[in-house]
Amino acid sequence: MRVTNSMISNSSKAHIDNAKNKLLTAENQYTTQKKILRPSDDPTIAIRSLQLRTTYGQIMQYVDKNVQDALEWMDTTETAMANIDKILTNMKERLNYGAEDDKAVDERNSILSVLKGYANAIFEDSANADYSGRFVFTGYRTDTSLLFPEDTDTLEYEIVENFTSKNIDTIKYVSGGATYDENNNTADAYAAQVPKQDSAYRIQLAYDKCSDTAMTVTGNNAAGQVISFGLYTPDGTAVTTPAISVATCTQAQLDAVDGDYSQLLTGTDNVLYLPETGELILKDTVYQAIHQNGAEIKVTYNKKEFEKNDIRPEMYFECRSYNRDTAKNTTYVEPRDQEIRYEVNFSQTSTVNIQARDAFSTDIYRAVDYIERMVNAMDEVERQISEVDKKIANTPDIPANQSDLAAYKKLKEVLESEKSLRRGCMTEAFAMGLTMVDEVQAELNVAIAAVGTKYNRLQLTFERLSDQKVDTEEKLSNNEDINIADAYINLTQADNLYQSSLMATSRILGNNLLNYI
Amino acid sequence: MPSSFFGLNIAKSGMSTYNAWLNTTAHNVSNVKTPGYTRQKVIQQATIPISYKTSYGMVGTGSEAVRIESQRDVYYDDKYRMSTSNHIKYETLTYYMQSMESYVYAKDSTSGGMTNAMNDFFNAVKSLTRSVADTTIRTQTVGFADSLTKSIQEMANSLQSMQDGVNSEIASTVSQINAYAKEIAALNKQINTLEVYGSKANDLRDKRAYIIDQLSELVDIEVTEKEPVGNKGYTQYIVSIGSAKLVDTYDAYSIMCEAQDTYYKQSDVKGLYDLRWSNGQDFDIRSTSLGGRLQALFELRDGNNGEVFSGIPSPGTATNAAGQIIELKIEDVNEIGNSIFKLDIPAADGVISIGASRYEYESFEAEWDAATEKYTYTFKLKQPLGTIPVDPNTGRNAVAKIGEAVDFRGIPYYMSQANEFIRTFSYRFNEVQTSGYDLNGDQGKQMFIGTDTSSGYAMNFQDPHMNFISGLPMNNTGGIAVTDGYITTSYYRMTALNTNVDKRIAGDGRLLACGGYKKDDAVYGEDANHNMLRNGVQCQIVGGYVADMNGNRLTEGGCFIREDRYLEDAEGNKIINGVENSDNLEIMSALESDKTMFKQGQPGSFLQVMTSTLGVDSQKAKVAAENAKNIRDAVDIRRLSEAGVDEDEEGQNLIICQNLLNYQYKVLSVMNEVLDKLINGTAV
Repeated sequence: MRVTNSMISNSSKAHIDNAKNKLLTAENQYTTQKKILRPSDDPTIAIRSLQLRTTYGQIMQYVDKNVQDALEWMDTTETAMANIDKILTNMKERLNYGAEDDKAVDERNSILSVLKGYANAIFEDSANADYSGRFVFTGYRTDTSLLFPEDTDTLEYEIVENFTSKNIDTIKYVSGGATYDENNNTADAYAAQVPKQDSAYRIQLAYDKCSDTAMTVTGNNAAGQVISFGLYTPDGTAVTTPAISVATCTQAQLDAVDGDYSQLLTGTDNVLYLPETGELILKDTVYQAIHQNGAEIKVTYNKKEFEKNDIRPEMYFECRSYNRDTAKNTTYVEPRDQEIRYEVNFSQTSTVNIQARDAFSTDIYRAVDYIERMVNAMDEVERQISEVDKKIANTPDIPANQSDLAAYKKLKEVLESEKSLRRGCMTEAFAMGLTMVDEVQAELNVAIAAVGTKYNRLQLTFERLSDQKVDTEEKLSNNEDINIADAYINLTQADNLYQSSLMATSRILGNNLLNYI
Repeated sequence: MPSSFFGLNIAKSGMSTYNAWLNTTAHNVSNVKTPGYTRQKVIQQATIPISYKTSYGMVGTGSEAVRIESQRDVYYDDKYRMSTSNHIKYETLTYYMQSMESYVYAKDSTSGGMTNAMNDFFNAVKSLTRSVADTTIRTQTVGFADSLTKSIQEMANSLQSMQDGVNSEIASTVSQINAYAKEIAALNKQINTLEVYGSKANDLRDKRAYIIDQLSELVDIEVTEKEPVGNKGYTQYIVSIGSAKLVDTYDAYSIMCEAQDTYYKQSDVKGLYDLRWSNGQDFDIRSTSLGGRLQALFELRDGNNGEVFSGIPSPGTATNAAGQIIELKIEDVNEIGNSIFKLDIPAADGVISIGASRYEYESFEAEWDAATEKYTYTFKLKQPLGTIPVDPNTGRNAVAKIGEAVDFRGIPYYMSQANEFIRTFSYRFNEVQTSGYDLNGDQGKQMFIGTDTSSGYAMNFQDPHMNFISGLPMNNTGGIAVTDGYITTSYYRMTALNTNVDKRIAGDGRLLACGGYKKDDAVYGEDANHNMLRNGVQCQIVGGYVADMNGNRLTEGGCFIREDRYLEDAEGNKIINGVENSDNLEIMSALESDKTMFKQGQPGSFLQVMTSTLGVDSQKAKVAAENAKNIRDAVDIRRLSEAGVDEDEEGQNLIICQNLLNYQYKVLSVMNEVLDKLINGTAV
C-alpha cells in the first residue's frame, strides 16, 4: 500500500486524541475518586449506585437519628418511672407508719404532709417529665403538659369516667356525734347524739371539687348534664334494673344530716353524688346489680375549676370542654392507644411512649385526699375533746355547775366514742392507701418492664443497623469508588501513553525528503 | 530521412513534458495541506513516430504530456461519506444524551439530582417520625419536598431548552445544507463549462467533492454522475437525499424550515420546525435513512419511543350549519389515553391524524366511564371534517393518532416520563396529605401542586378518575374559575415544568398533615346478606354517616361516625388525636417503598429505570459513534493512500524532473554543437 505523509499525520493525530481521551478518563477518575461520571460509562454501576445510595441514606437516618432518639426518649421515660417507683416505696413505708396505732396530732399531720409531698412529686416532677421540650407521658399531646400549669377557671369539663366493680370501695363512715351546744348543754341531749358507724359502697371519681351544674354548651352540641350514672354489661347493653336515680348533694346538705348518707338516699334515689369530695355512694341494690351483671359503670360529671397541678382530664378520659374565653366546645375522645411510633428500620416502627393513664393512676392523689379528710376529721374530734377538757377544767366543781359538768362529761364520752370510731376510719384510710400503692406499683412495674423490653429490642435493632450501615457503605464504595492505587496506576499509564504518542509524532513528522533537497 | 533540425524538436517535446510534470509536482507540494485536494499526476506518452520509409523504420518524435489526472477513487468517496453520516449522527446523539444524563444522575449522594432529592425528602419524613410536632424538622421536610419539585423542574426546563436548542440547530443545519447545495450547483456549471473542451477540471472537482464530504455530515446523500450519452450534451451531476433531488446539475433545490403552530406533545416548545422542499414537495423528516446530524436532531427533538395517543374515532354530537363534523369523539383509547398520569397530548393546537389526513383541534374534553374504567375523548376541531376514513382491513373507522410515533427515546420521551412521575407521585402523596390533619388540627391541603404558567394561579387537583377538560375551568362570566387564588383542575394539567410545593405549606411546615384522624374502633363486618354490621349489630349508611336501622346516627364517645369510619363532633369537625399522632406520616413514609405506585415499582425504581434506560441508550450511541468513526478512519486511510500527496514522493519527483529537464537541455546543446559543427565548421 502507498503510505502518504498525511496518512501518518492523521493516524498520529488519532493516536494522540485517543491517548488524551484515556488521560481525561483517568484524570477524572483520579480526581473525583469515582469510577463513573455518567450512567453511560457503566449503566450497571450507575443503577446499583442509585439503589445503594437510597439504602445507605435510609440506614443512616435510622441508625444515626431515629433509633438514637428513640433510645433517649425511652431513657427519659424509664428514669421518670424509676423515680416514681422509688417514691411509691417510700409512700408505702409512711402509710404503714400512719396506719399504726395512736399518733399525736403533729405526727399525724407530718405523715400527711409527707404523703402529700410524695403524691405531688409523682405527678409534678416525674409524670410531667419532658424530653427536649416534649412531654413524654401525654400521648399524642406532647405539646400540652399533663397537669394544669396554674389555677384555671376558664375551662369547663364534662368528664366521662368508667369504673368496674373493682373500683367500688366499702368504706366505714361515722355519722351523728355531738358537738358543744351552749343552748342545749345537757347530758341527755348529748346522750341522744351518740355517733354511729355505718359502711357504704363508694366510688371515688378522679377529681374532687366537682361542679353541681352542667357544662355550657354551644351550637348544636348535645346538651350537658350534671351527672349521669349508667350501668352496662360487658357486651355494651344497658342494665335497667334497678332504675338508677342519682341525688346530688352539697356539703351543706350532707352536714345538715350529720354525714348520714342513708338519710339522703330516700325514695327512689339509689346513688348519691357528692361533688365537693368527688364521691358516689351506692345503695345495696345498685351494688348487687353491678356485681351480678359484672357491669361496667359509666359516670359523666362536670368540673369547672382546676387548681395548679390538677391533671388535665383529656389526658386520662373521654371528655368535652368549654372554653369560657373563646366560647368554644371541644370534644376529646378517650385517649387510649396513643402510641408514638418511631420508624426505626425498614417498615418497622417502635412505640417509644407510655401514657400517664396506663402508668400512674389518679388513685394516688385521691387516696391521699381521703386520708387527709379522715385525719382532719380525727383532728377535729380531738380538738373538741381538748376544748371539752378545758371547759371541765375551767368549771369549778360546785353544785351550781353539776348539770354542766355532767353535760361536759357526757359530751366528752360521746366525743371519745366518736374518736375511736374515727380512728377506725382513719386506719382504714391508711390501709386503703397501702392497697392502692401496691396496685399502682404493680401497674407501674408492668410499664417499666415493657419499656425495658422495648429498649433492649431497640438496642438489638441498633446493632444490626450499625452492621448493615458498615456493610452498605462498603458495598457502595466498592461499587462506585475507584481504588486509589488503581486510579494512580491508570493515570500514570495514560500519561505515559500520551507522552509517547507525542514523542512518536514529533519524530515522524520531523523531516521528509523535501528537507534534503 | 528527417530534417536535420528534427532532434531539436524532440528535445523541445521532452522539455515541455517535464515542465508540465515539474509544475504538477509544484502544484501537489503547494496543496499538501489543502483539504479535499487530490494528488495529480501527469500522464505522458511517446509522441507518434514518423515513418520516412527508410530501411530502419519509424523515427521517434519525443514525448508529450497527455493529461493531468486526479488520483481519486469514487468508490472510497462513497464509503467515506456513508460512514461520516453515520459517525456524525451517533456523535450528535451522544453529545445531547450525555447532557441529558447529567440531569438525571449525580456522581454521588450530595451532588443534586432527582434520586438524591427524593432520598433526602423521604429521609426527612422519617426524621419527622421522631418528633412529629417539631416545626423545625417539619420546615426542613417541606424544604426537601420543595427541592424535589425544583430538581424535577430543573430537569424538565433543561430538557425543554435542549429541545429548543435542537430545534434551532435543525434550522441552521438546513440552511447549511441549502448553502452547500447552491455551491455544488455553481461548481457543476463551472466544471461543465471547462470540461466541454475535454480536459478534466481536477481542482474544481476536488472542491466539489470536499463540499459533498461536508454535506454528508449533515445528511446522508447519494451522488450520481452521468456522462453525456454519445459525448453530446453535458455531464449530469445529481445529489439526492433519499429519493428527492437536492442538486440536479445546475439546479439546487432548497429545503424550507416551517415553524409549526401545532404541537406533537403537551410539553413541546413552541414553533417546532417541519421541513418542506421549496418546490412544495414533502420532506420526510421521519425517514430512518435520513442519516447525518439531521436525523439525530429530529430523533432527539421528537423521539417518543413510538408512544402516542391512539383510539377509534367517531363523529361527535355537534355539527356545523353545513352538517359537517366539528367534534371528533375518540373511544377505545390506548394506555396513554386511559391514564391521566401518562396523557401527554397537547391541550390545544394538537394534530389528530387518521390515515393520511390531519385535523387540528383547539381543545378537548374527557369523560370517565366508571363501569368500563375508560376515558372517552371529544375533540373540538378547528376545521370541519367530511367523513372519517375507514380502515379497509378491519372495516372500522381508521385509527386516530395524536402526534407522530418516533421510535427513539428522545427529549419528549423523558419529558413524558418526568410528567408521569411527578403526577403519579403528587397524586399519591396529596391523597395521603389530604386524609390527615396538620399541626393546627385542620385537614391537610394538597402539597405537590402546580402553577398555571399563563394565568399564574396555583392549581389544585381533582380525583384522577373524573371527567376533565383540556383547558382551565371557567366560571359563569367566562373568566377562569378561581377560589382563593387556586384553580381546581385535573392532574393532566400538572407537568414537570409547573410543579411546585403549595406556597402556604412551603411557608409553614405546620401544615404538613402528619396526624391521622380518630377512627371508630368498632368491628365492622357483613352478614350473609351483605348487610353492614357494626359490633355484630346491623347498621346502615344514612347521609354519609353510620346509623342504626331506624336511621338514627350512631355515636362513639359522643361523636358521630362518618361513612369512612372517621369520628366527627357535632359541629362537623373530624376528631383529631393530638399533635404527636403520626398515623398519616407513617403512610407518607411508606410511599417510598410502595411497589404499586408505578409499573416499574416504587418511585425510586421508576427513576432508576429511567436513568438506566438513558444510560444504556447513551452508551449504545457512544459505542456506535466510535465504531462509525473507526470505519470512517479506515476508509479515509484507504482514500488517502490513493489520493494523498506524499512529500517524499513529490521530493523525488522534483529531483527526477530536474534531472530530466537537464537531460533535455543536454540533448539540445549536443544537437546545437552537432549542427554548429555541421553548418559553421564543415566544408566551409
